[in-house]
Amino acid sequence: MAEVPRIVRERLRSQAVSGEHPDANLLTAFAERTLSDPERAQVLDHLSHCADCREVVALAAIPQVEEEQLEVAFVGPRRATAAASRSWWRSPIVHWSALTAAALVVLIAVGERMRLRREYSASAPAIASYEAVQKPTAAPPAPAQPPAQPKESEKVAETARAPRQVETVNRPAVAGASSGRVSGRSAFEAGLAGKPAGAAPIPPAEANNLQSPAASDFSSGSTDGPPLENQRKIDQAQVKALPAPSAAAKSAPGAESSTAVAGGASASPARSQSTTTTEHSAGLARRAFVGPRWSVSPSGAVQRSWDGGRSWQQVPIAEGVNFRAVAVVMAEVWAGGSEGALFHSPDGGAHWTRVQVQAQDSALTGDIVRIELTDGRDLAITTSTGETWNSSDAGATWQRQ
Amino acid sequence: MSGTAQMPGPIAGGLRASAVADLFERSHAADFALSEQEFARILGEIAAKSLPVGAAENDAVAFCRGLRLEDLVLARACAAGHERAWEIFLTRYRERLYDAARSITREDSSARELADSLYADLYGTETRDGRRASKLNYYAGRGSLEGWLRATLAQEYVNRYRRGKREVSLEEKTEAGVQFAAPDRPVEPASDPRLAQATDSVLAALAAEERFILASYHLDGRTLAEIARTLGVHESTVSRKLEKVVRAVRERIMDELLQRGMSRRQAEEALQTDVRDVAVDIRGRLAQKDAAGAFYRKGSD
Repeated sequence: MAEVPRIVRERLRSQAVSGEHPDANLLTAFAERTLSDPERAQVLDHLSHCADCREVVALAAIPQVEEEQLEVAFVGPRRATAAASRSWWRSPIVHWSALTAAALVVLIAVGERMRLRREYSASAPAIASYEAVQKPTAAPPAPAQPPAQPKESEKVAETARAPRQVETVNRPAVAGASSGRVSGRSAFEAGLAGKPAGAAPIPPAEANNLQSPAASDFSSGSTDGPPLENQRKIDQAQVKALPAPSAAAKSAPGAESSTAVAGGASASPARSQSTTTTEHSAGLARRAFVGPRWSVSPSGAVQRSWDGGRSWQQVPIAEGVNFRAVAVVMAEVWAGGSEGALFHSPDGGAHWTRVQVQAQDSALTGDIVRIELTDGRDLAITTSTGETWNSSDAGATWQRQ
Repeated sequence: MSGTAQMPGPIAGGLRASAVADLFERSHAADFALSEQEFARILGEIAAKSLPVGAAENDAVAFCRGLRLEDLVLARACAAGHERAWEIFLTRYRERLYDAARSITREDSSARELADSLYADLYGTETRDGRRASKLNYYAGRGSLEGWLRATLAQEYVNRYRRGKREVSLEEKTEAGVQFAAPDRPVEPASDPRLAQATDSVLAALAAEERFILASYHLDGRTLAEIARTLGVHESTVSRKLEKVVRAVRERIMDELLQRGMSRRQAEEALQTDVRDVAVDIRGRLAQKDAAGAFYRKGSD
């Protein structure tokens, strides 16, 4: 940065401060940018002359590290790493390396796609013969015969097939809200919305069938029953379990044939690979979960923010309760307030259950003012009367300390 | 609760009762047993300080809606001694206030002392007309209550602690290893009064934001990031503006000096960087990165 002449510093230092110093209200509003333009101009003019007020504004600002810690505390360790590494991430070397890596990934993906297309073309006659054999017994709705040279529209369908297939296979393995947490609010809520309607909707037997080699190995040509029929039953069961958008996609024209072709062409190696991929995706989904912020408003309502605290929406839990504490771990939300009212939501605030805090010989008194949640099951609450209650089984039983 | 409360103050014709009722409901003041009349009085008091006399009612309503009403009500309820308001306040702000004090003083015992003194002021240790005079009565809801608490802490620190630091004992200085620190260099008068006049003229013509950036960076030693956060702009914007203003200041002073009869060479000499202002890291320059490297090693050649 260029140096200023010494005389400039001296004259800046000796500038007279005109007018009264702005009070803490104005300085806060200036820092939070809630002043009107004329007021802001006035305060800025004063600050440009007054070293004391500049220092007050600088000292009152939340330190950068603290801001990052707040962010980190909210988004978890994965983002914490990102925040800690922000400085080296700005390096141009890293930028160029990332660009090169991205280009390589694209090249590899294109190459892989070409290879898969060649294999697909080569295996098309085999699928056709298999379906010809199965047609008299299983009589499935005849899937379109994959041509040796797919048309452009079918290429698009093939591209769209992969993720849908992944979801179909994987849904039972990650049954629960966690599967919907990847893509922010809508996905999160969609997952939650699907949960009550079909909470663990796939019977264990069908889930086992889905993962068993017999169900997935179309090329085995078992005579015990038409594998396509088994697969269709499983798929239908999964469609019921899926949220509406997925089910709609499933029933779209061409969906049936694409499932059959995918199962027949890829056979067991492809299936196992897809299961591995989806398990990996689910793991990533769990790790990459970025949920809302929760807090209690001054009026005693529990509120939630999806945009990092810029705007808040009240979450209706119970009438007549003044909430004073809220604690969150993943989708487990606990909120407590006046007269020992304690509520628990296992699904990110979609549904709430009142939890009674009591032991054999005593019950909680006062308001709940603090909730500490170490994981989904261990929690400790503190009341305004100084009591501390612990539970290690998600609120089923309580011990008073 | 009467629905006829009107906001006194500078607004022509007052604020209509329906607007006050709406604001009252938004603020949840009833939770702290604050009456609508009292609420209207508080709004009127704040508006009187912030709005021009005779402000239009719509402007007043917009102004009041822009206030942090819930924080305002909480603060005033605390000032009035409402027990539940204090419980909420302490639950919500006690730890944050100590954290803020620690970030300001960067030392635990001073931080606790600073925060405790503010708590005493917030609670109101002095009585006025038989009532405790709480500092929370000065909170006007223009920004967040937490921000106001931080600013009040910072003001208290600047007023009290920084002045106190100038009067530390010789023992404390010795402990800090600064007993032999050179005193601040007195401001030397410019050799040619035209230089000071030209500089004052140029600085006075700068925009407030330019002067703020210049002073923050070159006088206060703030970083670009800190300035950027204060102004709510990107760090690169501050960097660009700073470069621009430093260049402009130099050029304009040069022009002023020429207009005041200096030759170009005289003006350039007057504006040359003083060697005493060049920050040279002597210790860093003298320190050897590899201690052994400075010595001749037998058999190394």
